Amino acid sequence: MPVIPNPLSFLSSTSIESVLAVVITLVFIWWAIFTLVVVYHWFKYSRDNVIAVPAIVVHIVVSGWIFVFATGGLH
Amino acid sequence: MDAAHLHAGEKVVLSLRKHPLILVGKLIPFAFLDYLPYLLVQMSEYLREMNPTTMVNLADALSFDSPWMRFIVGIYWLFIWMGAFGVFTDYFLDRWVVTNERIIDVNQKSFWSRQVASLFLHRVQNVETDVSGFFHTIFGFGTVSVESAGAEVNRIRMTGLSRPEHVRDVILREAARHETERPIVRVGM
Repeated sequence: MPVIPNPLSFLSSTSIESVLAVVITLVFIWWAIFTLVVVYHWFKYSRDNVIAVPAIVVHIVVSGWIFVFATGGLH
Repeated sequence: MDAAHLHAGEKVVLSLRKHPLILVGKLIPFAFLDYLPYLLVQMSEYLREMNPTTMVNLADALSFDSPWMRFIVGIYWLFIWMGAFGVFTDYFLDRWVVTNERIIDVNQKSFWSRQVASLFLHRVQNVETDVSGFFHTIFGFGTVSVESAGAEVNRIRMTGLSRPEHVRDVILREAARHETERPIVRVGM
């Protein structure tokens, strides 16, 4: 009887660290694209607004805090 | 509106955004979604108290002491934050500008869709205000609709504006001023 390979066998050879690294990288790329687009819009269409720079700073600080919170417990 | 986008001699009379309460209303769902993980943790602790002999201890897994829980909730919060910040940005990019020549409607539909429309004051035919609803009446915000005359009727609707009656008065005043200052061209004389 032919042996059918388990399609999920790659999971046993995949370490949780590499999965985490991929997830974190993908999330960071998504966040970076979002941030670039938002910054572009603030500066192109609302740069005369006094709230533009503080808003971007708050976005980066809060995002950084969430990143640290999310990855702080991982070793 | 940047000065670079205005015509020569054009001056900004009013620069308008929606009432801040509109922004608060849009951000409330994000605040609720932010709080959901806490509810989940509290619920799992409640279940443990109800049935302490259970084989699967959800309370330990769904605790902020667990690094996995922190990671999943952190990623979740990051997306919630991006959504909320996107709404905040959209609020500030949507605006109406009344100049001494026209009304400019800047509508940022999404990050990849921006609509800018102008209605010249000499074409203004009708300006309507509409304040209806409990919060609208209490906090004094509503809709101003400006209709243009001509073969093709255009309309600019400014929704969620603070003091809509004041905005209507300014538009009517500027339209009247524009009308009186226009040179009269007599045809066939």
